[in-house]
Amino acid sequence: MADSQYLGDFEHIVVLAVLRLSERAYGVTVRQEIELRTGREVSIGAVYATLSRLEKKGLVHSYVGDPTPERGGRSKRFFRVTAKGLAAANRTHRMVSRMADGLHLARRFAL
Amino acid sequence: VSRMPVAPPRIAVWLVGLFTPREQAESIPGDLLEEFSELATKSGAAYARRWFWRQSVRTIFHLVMSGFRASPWLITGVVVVGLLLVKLGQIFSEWTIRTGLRFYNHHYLPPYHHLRLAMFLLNGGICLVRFLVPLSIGCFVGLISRGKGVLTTAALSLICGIWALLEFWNFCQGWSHEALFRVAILTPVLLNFFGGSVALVVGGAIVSSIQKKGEGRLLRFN
Repeated sequence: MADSQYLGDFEHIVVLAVLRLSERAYGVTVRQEIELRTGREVSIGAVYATLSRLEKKGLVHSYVGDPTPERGGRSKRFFRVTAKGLAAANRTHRMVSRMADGLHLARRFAL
Repeated sequence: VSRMPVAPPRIAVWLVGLFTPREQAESIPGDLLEEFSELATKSGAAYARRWFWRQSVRTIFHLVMSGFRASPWLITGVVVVGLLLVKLGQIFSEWTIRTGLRFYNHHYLPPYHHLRLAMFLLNGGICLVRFLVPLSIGCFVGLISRGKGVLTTAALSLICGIWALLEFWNFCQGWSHEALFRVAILTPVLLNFFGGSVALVVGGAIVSSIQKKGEGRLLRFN
């Protein structure tokens, strides 16, 4: 099961955002990156619900940073994609690409 | 910790803190505060406050849904236990009230000019019993929910609230609108019907807040 793990739509987006941000990936930056690139308003709760699900599956791992004053003295939780997570993201990406292969979606269904 | 120039809505902060699981107790409220202070500087306090409320409501919704998905059996089990306790609690409350009334009728007859005060105290006592019993059940359910006290008591309260609404609907049948309005405003009838549901969540919230504070102190100590 673990070897053939695929990501859900939003899981895929979150993993890609964490990969893009690398060392700077925590709740705020992940949320903003998703909003910026997808144009979709996302809640911090949705991001954390997905990240904690991914962490339970071993696809990302988190560590606690230092507290900062603008956060009311609360610390950040940074996230990194594990090797297993990277493999799952690749597998999902390949699957979506194969499904879309030859459809010329941009030309055919562009609105 | 420096003070922020504009404060976020207190109730929203409190609600988010209440529904946030222990492992994210620092990160989720911290992230919301960080973005709030950024937005307040960039777009103004009113816009930032609206954004904070919108984010809080959506965050709570996601936290509730993911909480249920994470441990559906624990929550279902605790809610069933809670419902049984609520039923037992209702029987106990009614017995206490009936015993109190019997004692009052047999042993205490107030002079006529004190009758209104006595009736007021009696009504207050009945409401207190109907609030305190579910409050203690809420606390107990919160204690056995393994960090999901608010979630389980909210679910329990929702079921009891729907039940109370049906009972209230039955009670309303045959009353004129004006009479019903007077009854609802002048007597503690609404508290009698819906106070229990509110008390359950209050109990869960009290336990959850105490547990989070305790853990915070323990973390700082370590």
